[in-house]
Amino acid sequence: MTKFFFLFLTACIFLSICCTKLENPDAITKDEVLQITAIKSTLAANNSDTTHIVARIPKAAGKLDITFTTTRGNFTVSAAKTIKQLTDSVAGEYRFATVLLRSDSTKGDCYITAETGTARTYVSLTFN
Amino acid sequence: MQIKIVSALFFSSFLFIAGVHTLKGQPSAPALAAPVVVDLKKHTIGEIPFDKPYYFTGDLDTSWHVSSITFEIMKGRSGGTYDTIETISVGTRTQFTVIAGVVEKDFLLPDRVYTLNVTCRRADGSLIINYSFHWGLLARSKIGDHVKLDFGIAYAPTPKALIGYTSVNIYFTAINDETNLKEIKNISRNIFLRTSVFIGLSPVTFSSDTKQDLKNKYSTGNIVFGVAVRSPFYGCYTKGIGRVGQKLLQPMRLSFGEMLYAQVNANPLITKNANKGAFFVGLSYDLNIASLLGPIAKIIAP
Repeated sequence: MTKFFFLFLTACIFLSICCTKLENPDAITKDEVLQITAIKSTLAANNSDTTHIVARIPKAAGKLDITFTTTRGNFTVSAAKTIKQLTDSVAGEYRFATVLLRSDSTKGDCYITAETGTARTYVSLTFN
Repeated sequence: MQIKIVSALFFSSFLFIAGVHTLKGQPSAPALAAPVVVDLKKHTIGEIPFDKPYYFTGDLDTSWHVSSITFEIMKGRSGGTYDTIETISVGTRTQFTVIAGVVEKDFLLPDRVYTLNVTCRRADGSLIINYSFHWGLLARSKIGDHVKLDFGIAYAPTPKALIGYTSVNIYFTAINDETNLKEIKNISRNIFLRTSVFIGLSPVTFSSDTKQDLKNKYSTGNIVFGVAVRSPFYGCYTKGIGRVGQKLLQPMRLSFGEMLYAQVNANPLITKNANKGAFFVGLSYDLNIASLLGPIAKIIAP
């Protein structure tokens, strides 16, 4: 009885001193909220070269719409500069949305923006 | 008239604080000792308290011509040796009082069996009665003696939060609320009488200093659990604290525990709150339901 009492007491003391870190918005990087990546960093300005643009959000955020906008070229599915994609694939702690960007014939820098909720980020690539 | 009432009230409160109300005119009984009524005719005995002083009292039948009464006590039901508590000369008295548990070593422990033997003799030494009380002397505890409710405030340094909480304390020994912990000097007994594990609820957070708001983990509040030390500022190590000090300090508890709470997620995309745990130190007070409901109960069933 005495041994059990002290064992139980020790376990409770041990559990009591456990602490978890507080939530700190300053410690969260932009990429932890919404990350955007282009598979290729350069595309040929020939109206046909393509690359996948991948946006990533935390799995805990749920299945959200992500809006992609590009300054040059267009997205293959609708020939539009803005497109909404559902985050549909899950890997580890993240969900992903993917679009295919096709280049146009104008040479220069291209900025692709991803936006969801209050988060917004961009990636740049070059058409040459 | 009013002055008389006020004086009477003042005097009766003084008597209450001094603990004289339990003595019932027995000058030699220790303060706050509990009377245990022994009925020698019916061969019955009242409930004996554990962890506190007590004395035996009862009426004498003058036709018996009792000259002396001897009270002896033994641990267990049989096979042990009796320790004489006291032999008193009765004389012409119609009542007897035998002081038993005066010092800690004589206090009865909860849920242990003791046997009390009472012997009455005439002046010539002839035996009138020789009773043994087995069952009645078992200082029984109830489940309620192991479980104590309390409420208090606590500070969790990590979220810099001041919380209010209420908890259920579980003891590994029975607790007699009337025990004066100052009289318990045995270290291991002190540990058992003072240490409890608790689980409870913190329904209110008075203040916090965090970048993200704290939220209740459940609709009723946050879960708290840990270890508590009863009466940390009262015991054989405290000097100059009287009855009032005991009333104030003994029901106090110093708690060390963990609070399981929720916090608004720092990631703006995550609407679900993050589960967190924080260490806290708290100070709580016994929530004696009986004493709170006592006056109400008296109104309903006087």
